[in-house]
Amino acid sequence: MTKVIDDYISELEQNLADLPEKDREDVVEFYHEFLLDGDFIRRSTIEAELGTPKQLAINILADYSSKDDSVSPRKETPKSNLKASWYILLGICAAPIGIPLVLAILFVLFFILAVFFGLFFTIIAFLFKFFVGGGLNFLKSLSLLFTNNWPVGCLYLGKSLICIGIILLLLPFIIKLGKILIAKCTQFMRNLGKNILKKNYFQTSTGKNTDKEK
Amino acid sequence: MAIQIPTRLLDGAVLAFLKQDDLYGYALTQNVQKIFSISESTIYPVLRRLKKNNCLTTYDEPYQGRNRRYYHITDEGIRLLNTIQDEWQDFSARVNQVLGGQNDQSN
Repeated sequence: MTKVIDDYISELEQNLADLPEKDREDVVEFYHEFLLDGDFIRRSTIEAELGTPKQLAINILADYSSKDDSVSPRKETPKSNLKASWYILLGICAAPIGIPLVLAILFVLFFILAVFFGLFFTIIAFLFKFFVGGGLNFLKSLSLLFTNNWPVGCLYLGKSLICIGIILLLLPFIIKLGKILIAKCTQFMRNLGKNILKKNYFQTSTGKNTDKEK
Repeated sequence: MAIQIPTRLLDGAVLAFLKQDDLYGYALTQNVQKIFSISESTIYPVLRRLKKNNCLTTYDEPYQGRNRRYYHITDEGIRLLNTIQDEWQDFSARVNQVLGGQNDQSN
């Protein structure tokens, strides 16, 4: 009898691997106790109440991800930010708001991302061209240095050094810009998640009620 | 019910139950579900948020060879409950002005 519950709980735990340990223990303990107190015997009844372990985990992770004031403050890295965005998106998909809204959100999101990353890659491409140009100038200047045209060689050498210098100056800035872009996108996702998930989280399940009435 | 329950009211409902008595997760969920038909997975985020804001504390008590986690309302929680009750009185009075049946007779 408890094996069904244990299985469900261990599956839930596996799906919550990304949660900090303390938070994971808390939430797993809560649902373990919940299932034991509820005398759930069959897997099907558990899933009717809580959803599959994966669905429940997505709900939990979305709840954690859309709150910036998490219990245990985590360091924000581009990777963790992208992960949080992903969970929020999954959570939104799982929320009972209908596919059209999800599609609309995805559409808007796609456009925003496209604009952001379009800009980002334009800058990178521009720099790359600069870099290649600088490199070519450098090679050209070397071959010219040992000929009668050595003053021209010096000119090219100078030009290439300027190019490389500018790139080295801009590189940290570019990397920072990329990080800021990802952080901004995540913030946008968090707000989106907060608005959409919060409003729908505590929705009375209309479907359930009509089922009972029938 | 097609009306969504705002988070605020759910917080209030949980606090109101805990003001009467300390409860464990399942019993609390059952109580809330008798009033609102919410899904089982909505209570944990509420408890987590209330605990984080110091509105409730938890303690474990042994039960049949395992622990049950009880939730206990704090002074801070009682204060929040009073605030939510006031807000609700005000809000429901306004809604009744428009949607309540009494209006039809007086006019």
